[in-house]
Amino acid sequence: MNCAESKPLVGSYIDGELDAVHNLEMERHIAGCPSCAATQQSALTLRSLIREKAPYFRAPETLRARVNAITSAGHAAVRTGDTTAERQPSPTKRLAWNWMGAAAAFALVLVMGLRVSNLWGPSQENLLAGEVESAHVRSLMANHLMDVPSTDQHTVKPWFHGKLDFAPPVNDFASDGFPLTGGRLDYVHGQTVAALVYQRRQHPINVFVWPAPAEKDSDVREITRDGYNILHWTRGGMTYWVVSDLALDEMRQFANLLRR
Amino acid sequence: MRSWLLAIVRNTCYSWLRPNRRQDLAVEFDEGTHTPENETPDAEGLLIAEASREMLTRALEELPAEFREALVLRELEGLSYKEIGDVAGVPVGTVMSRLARARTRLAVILAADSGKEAADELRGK
Repeated sequence: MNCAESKPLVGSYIDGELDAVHNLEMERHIAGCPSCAATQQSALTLRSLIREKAPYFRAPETLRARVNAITSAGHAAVRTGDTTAERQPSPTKRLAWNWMGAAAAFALVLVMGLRVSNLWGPSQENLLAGEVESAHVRSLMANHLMDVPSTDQHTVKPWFHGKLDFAPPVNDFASDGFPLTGGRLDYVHGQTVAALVYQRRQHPINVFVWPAPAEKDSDVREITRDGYNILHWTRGGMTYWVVSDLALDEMRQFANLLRR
Repeated sequence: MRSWLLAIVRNTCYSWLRPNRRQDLAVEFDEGTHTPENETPDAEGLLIAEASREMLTRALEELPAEFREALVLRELEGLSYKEIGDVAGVPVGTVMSRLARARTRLAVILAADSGKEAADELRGK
């Protein structure tokens, strides 16, 4: 494991959400890499900061009373007029109350100021390339490459239906040596996007697709970061970002197939 | 049951927000302002540790709603990725990338804020 692979996984690592294999690889890598150890330390600092200082809202008493009235325990107490239940809440009721507190807290955090801004910085391409690269690396973790593993474009394409408000073009290029292996939803550029997964020998290729209605068709642009090749273009109202560790000439060949 | 209840609260909350604050839900993060050319949250650990309650609240407010909700469900409610996915109605992979982006952005905002406050102090404000 190198830093390019390790950095995007630091969060999942401290969350204890990695599979055993990646967990072990992370442990080993961080032990020998001061830079990734520092990233982990920052992530832990941020975590304790949030846990200690983030605003946490408690739900008001009136809400508690109303929820108790509709949960089964509360319902029984109300029906029988059992006032002792009110003074000494049953475990079920306490539990319901905890959930409710959490739910209310969560709602308030959501409502808490939401701000919009739409100015694009000068390095949008770089930022997107970074996002796409991270999404690619994360997808290579066990079990996250595909939500719909299928080599059949007629299975993959309908799978996106209802999950996205656009229909990504899905084609299999098995006869050209780039078989389709599946698809999934991912999150890039502040939105849910289609991720199509192709395979070239042992190299997985991620193709991220999202609508770009306002943008004109553009030629292929090439970026190389951390050993990954990233090609992107806009065509027919869709933006395509292709990322893999494949050699550049094979990436170009694949991009030509997609653009055919 | 907990994820289920949170999912109801979330959906109700978003339905309330939609007509009332339509603008706010089309959240686009201003990458240009908040993300410097080189994202280096590593070096920002020290600055972040000094962040005040107010700064943190302000920084959280600046995050897009989907990012904030993932972070809150993870750090304050202690939900697993699977549970967060159930609440938000997205796959685990999406939860993972939202959390990663949320943390990076939060660190960058906080570091920028800390830098600003330190600079203000130096100028005697």
